[in-house]
Amino acid sequence: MVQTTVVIIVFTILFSCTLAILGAKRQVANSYLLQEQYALAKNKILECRLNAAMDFLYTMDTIMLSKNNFSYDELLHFVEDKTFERAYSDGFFSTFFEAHFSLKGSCDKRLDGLPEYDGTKFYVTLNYNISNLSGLNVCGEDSFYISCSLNFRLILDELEGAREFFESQLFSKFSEKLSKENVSEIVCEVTGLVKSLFNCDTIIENISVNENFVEAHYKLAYPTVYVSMFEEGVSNNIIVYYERPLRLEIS
Amino acid sequence: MFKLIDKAFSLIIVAVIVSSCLNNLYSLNVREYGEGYYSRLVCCQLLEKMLKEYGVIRLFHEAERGTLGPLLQHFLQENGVYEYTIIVVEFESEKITVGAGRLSGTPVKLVLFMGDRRMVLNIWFTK
Repeated sequence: MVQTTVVIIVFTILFSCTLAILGAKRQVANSYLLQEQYALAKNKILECRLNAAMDFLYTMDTIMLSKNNFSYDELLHFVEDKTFERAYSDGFFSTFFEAHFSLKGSCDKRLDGLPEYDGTKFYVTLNYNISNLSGLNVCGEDSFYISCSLNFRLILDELEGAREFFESQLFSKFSEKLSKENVSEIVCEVTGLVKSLFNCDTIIENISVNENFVEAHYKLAYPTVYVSMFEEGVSNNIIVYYERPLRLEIS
Repeated sequence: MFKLIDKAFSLIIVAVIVSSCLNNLYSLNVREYGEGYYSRLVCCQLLEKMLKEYGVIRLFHEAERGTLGPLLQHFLQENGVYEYTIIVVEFESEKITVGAGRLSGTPVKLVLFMGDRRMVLNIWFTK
């Protein structure tokens, strides 16, 4: 009886050892699987970042190459917050992302895989959902910045500065010495200053001068070159303009 | 007494044989998992490096010009993995295959978009 018990104990110990070894190996295999899933998910997140940035920049590129004249408001609309989303699959992974692009942000993480430009920086908040046939489901948020080839902020600031300068100069000069004879002289002087200070051309239409007020319709045009980010060697000479009727009360 | 020794030895032998068989079977499996993980990790690293070095836009341009094959071949040779890596690029209706080695298992895929154009990079590392 004792002998049989000893044999059973020995056998049980051996069997337990085998199970313990198998358990340890199973854990090693699971850790490999987990690390593999992590590496693949990381790869897919990079893919999401790139595709989101490409969608935004490609849309912008297409618009900027489509015509030569852009109004101040159109350019302002470009730099407003925008959201892009896309859902796709590679046969194993299903990916969905929603990316929010804004001028406001403080993230200093650049996106590798796209060129760096001197133009405006857009801050991106990316929400992604990645799942695969193995049951992996990764949701998360990421943020980074991308740059584009045109400096939207500079153009808008130049036009805004030119507008303020032009109107205030015109007002002060007309207030000082207004007569029908020197209107063109004053206009020439102010438009020359606008050109040299803000690199803007000024076009004045329908100017009418009365004793108490001056009415004019003016247009400020900022010429620049847009260099395509996607079409090699392609650029577009564009003019960003600001126009409005102006009425200056001079009494 | 001899009966007991016989019994004990036969049980021990059976246990040792069973455990070594199971362990060997599982160790083979673990090795496979390890190799699979390693090869996928290398694939991910290669894709990341490729994107950093060339950028997405250049990959599309080279594919449009029909010169993506030589570029990827240069990339694999430069990184010393040409013999063990296979890259298959699906771009529009074309399939560009670069590299050498035994094609097995599932590839690591990268799907990229440029407007309405789609490019899928499939990569296998087989060392």
